[in-house]
Amino acid sequence: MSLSLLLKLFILPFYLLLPFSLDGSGTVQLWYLPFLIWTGLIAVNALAEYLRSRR
Amino acid sequence: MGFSWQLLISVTLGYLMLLFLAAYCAERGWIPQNLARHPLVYLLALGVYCSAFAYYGSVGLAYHLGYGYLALYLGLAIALVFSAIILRPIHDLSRSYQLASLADLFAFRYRSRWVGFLTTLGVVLAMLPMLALQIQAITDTITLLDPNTMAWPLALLICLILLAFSILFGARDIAPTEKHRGLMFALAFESLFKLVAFLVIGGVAALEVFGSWPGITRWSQIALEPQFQTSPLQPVQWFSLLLMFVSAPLVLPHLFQLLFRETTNLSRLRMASWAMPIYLLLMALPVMPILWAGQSLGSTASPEYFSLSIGLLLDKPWVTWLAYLGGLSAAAGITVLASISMASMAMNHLVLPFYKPSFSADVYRWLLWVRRLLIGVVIGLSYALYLLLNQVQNLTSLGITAFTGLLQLLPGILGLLFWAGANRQGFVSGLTLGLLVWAASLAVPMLAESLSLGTQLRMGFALEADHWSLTTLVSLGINTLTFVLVSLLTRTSKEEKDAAQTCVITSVDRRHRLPLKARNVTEFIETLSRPLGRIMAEREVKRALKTLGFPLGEYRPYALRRLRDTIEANLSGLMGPSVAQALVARYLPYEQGGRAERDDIYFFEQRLDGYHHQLTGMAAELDRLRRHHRETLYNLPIGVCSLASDGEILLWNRVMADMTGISEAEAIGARLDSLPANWYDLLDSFLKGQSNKLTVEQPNADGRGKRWFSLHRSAQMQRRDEPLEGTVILLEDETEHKLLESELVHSERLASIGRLAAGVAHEIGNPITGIDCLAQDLKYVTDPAEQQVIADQIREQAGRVTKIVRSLVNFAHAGQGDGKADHQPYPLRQVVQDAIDLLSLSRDAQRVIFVNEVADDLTVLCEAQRLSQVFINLLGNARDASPDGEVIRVRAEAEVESAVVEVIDRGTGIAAEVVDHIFDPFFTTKEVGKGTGLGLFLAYTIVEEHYGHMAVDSPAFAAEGIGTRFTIRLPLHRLLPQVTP
Repeated sequence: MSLSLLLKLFILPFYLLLPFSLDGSGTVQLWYLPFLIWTGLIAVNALAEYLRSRR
Repeated sequence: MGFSWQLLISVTLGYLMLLFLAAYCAERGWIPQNLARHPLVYLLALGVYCSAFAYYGSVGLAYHLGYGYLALYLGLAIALVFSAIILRPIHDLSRSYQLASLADLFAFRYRSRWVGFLTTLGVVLAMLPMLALQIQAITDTITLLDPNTMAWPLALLICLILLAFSILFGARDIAPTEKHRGLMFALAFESLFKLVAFLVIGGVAALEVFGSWPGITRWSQIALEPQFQTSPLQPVQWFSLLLMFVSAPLVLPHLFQLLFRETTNLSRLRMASWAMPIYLLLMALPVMPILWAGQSLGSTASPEYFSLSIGLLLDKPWVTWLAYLGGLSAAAGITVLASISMASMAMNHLVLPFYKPSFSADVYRWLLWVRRLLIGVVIGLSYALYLLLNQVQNLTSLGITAFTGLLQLLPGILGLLFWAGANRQGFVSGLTLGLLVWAASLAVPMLAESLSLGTQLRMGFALEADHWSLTTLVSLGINTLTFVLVSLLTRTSKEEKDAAQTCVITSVDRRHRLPLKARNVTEFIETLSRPLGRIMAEREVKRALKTLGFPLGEYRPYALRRLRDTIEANLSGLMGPSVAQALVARYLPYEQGGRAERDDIYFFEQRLDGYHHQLTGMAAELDRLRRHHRETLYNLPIGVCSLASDGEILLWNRVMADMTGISEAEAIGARLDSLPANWYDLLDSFLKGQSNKLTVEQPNADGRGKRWFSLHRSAQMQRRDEPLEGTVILLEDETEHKLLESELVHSERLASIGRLAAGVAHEIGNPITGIDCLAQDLKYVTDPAEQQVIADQIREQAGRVTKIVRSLVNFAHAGQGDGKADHQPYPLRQVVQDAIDLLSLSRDAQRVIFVNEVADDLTVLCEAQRLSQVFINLLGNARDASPDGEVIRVRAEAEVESAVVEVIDRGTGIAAEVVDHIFDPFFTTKEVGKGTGLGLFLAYTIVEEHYGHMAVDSPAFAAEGIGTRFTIRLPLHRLLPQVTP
């Protein structure tokens, strides 16, 4: 299995559980937390795509 | 500030005119190409996904489900993350087979016009609420801003404008690879506009309403209070929503059009997979601040329209205008693109399979006008549903109803991509049941409710009742279960199995190598003229030839099969796969005739080459090994040609192309009988012959000189349960070898002459001495009669000398010159005798006795001087190995079609350890300087040139352990029997 696919599979659970991330943080004052996580996931996906394009 | 409906309509028209202008400028090329075709334009055009449902509805979803609204954006983002697995295969299929919609894809895979019909029906039924939603969003916002507005005429006017837009920029031409550059640019423009508008409204909400960062953070806390929060997001709701939106890029007809039809550039799809989520993130970000701002300001409007009411409550008209125009953008984009793609589906699957146009007229024009009409029908139906729904349903309900209906196509897609066992019965029964459950539990109740209610529901129906998630899961579950069970329990047709190999991502498209009835391009045009008319048939055949880069005179079976495939794909792009398949199968059929189906190896290999960059791990390693072996075969320093059992050339490597002057492109896929006559004759006669090895002369391509080729063949290995596939022929250029060999023969001959020189001198010396004596006698003889006798004796002696010299000269020059073999019928006995005579000139001639026992009636077709070289070498060796006074016999007898000659001596024989090497060049057991090691090698080669065979047996007299027997088998030359009258 390629590293790019591994990275994508790694971020999948985060995508699936993103709306519940606020429940885990314990406070809605961090309302922007799902968006921060999502930004991170976009960056990881972009990295995976970069690795795939280099292959 | 008040908003009058007249002003709103004017601004609406103005904005739509701006979109017109943007599309028109891009279409006409007035916008620089590097801008109009920039990848960012394609990316932004994908933003059409964020329709009015996203622009307004997501705030409503957030109001009810909190962060559950993110499913709308994350669903598409997840699908894009895994685009290589989900979207890329469909992109490849759409591009290769000109499949314009999901219905095309299903009809192609499940090989049924009814599959296309049902899919189109399902998509149209599910999409109508979505399009009605867009119209409603525009009229809702106008009536919100001016309650005195007459909604239905306004909606009609907007529908007519969008219809004109769709026809002008979406149905201008009919071509299999039609692209809409103007439309794409306009969509990119509207996507950018609505994103900016939404971000600005979100920013205004955050700054104006909450004042600062702590303010909005405080409000997020307050938003948890019961009066603002209805119920927490349930996992079942979340995953139901996610299922709907993950499947969105596949089931939404307008996204299918954008992702798989509007670009053939794979890098754009790749870029979308990482860049599009950024757009979605930015669209999702302002939703919560807008919701909280609406709640904080105490808006009485539906939460779906909080983005609009914020500007009103803050008394900031520009914010309201921005929100309105953003919503208008979002609604217009999807309406235009979805109507175009749905019209294309309807034409391919609702009209053409059931109505055959007259092909005597301009069919392209007919197709174009039918498509325009169908765009009108789609927008008309959307408007009718909008009227029927009576503006009482909220946008979220309409959107979820639409997505739940579209979700019913998901099992079919998964089956298409991942399950070769899926079949049309399973698909039709599953989809029918799924759509029935959807209609009974969501669509029909929604319609009935709309007819019975007089005022708009605040957040009613689907979300309040909360049975939408149940309906989603139940309908999808029943659909999937039925699909799987029926597919397992019913028979899958051969056509479906073949199509599955093309579609399933773990399979490679493996076409069969069947001969077509049409033998050339002209026959293609003639047969297609019957259903399509002459003009269209010619145009489609030439279009396909141009795509493939084949000439008009193409005749190769492989090329004709590709031509057929391309014509089918192009017709599929025009009329849909159902019609195209039926038409091509009927008018360009294969010759079945009980032939075994064979893989089209060259096509198969090209497909593998196309896939290799997608392979990973073990598969990638195996593919690398395959390519390595392929390259090795291709670059072998020997010509390799692989032939199928029907004579089609499957492999023609580089050296083969160099040697024959026939390029790989010309040879591969052609039949042997279509090669130039000299090569066809050579290869065909070799294939029909019994021998597995042959050395022949072949004239050079330029007609000057000749070359020698050695051919070898080997039957292909038999695969399990399959008969022999064909033959591999190796072609070796032996010209240099032959020239060298000829030089060696000459050298050996000169060496023989050298060895004979002393004997020759002796033989010539005797008659010369005699002549000298006779000449002296002549001085003293006066009698004329006696003088005459002496003169005759001198002539006789001179004749002896001449004979000896001529035989030497003949021997020295035999086989030289232009290298032509001059085979003539010649008595075998005479050949042997010539050799004995020459050897008798040797000084050692008296040591042994040569006995020629060859019968007089044996005649062979030979070059006598070369063949005598064989016997000179054999008899010379026999003499060297024999004791003085021993007899060396040469016997011959006829055996069927051959003369079997034996040269037997009673010499020392050949040691067992060297007997296998005696025919090798430069192998000798003689002392240094006495032998070149070429004698037996040349003898063997010359016998082979005469289509004979030579073997050795030593010791010839086993009891005594002495002697050697060389056995030569030569084909006999038989004279034709005389015909008696």
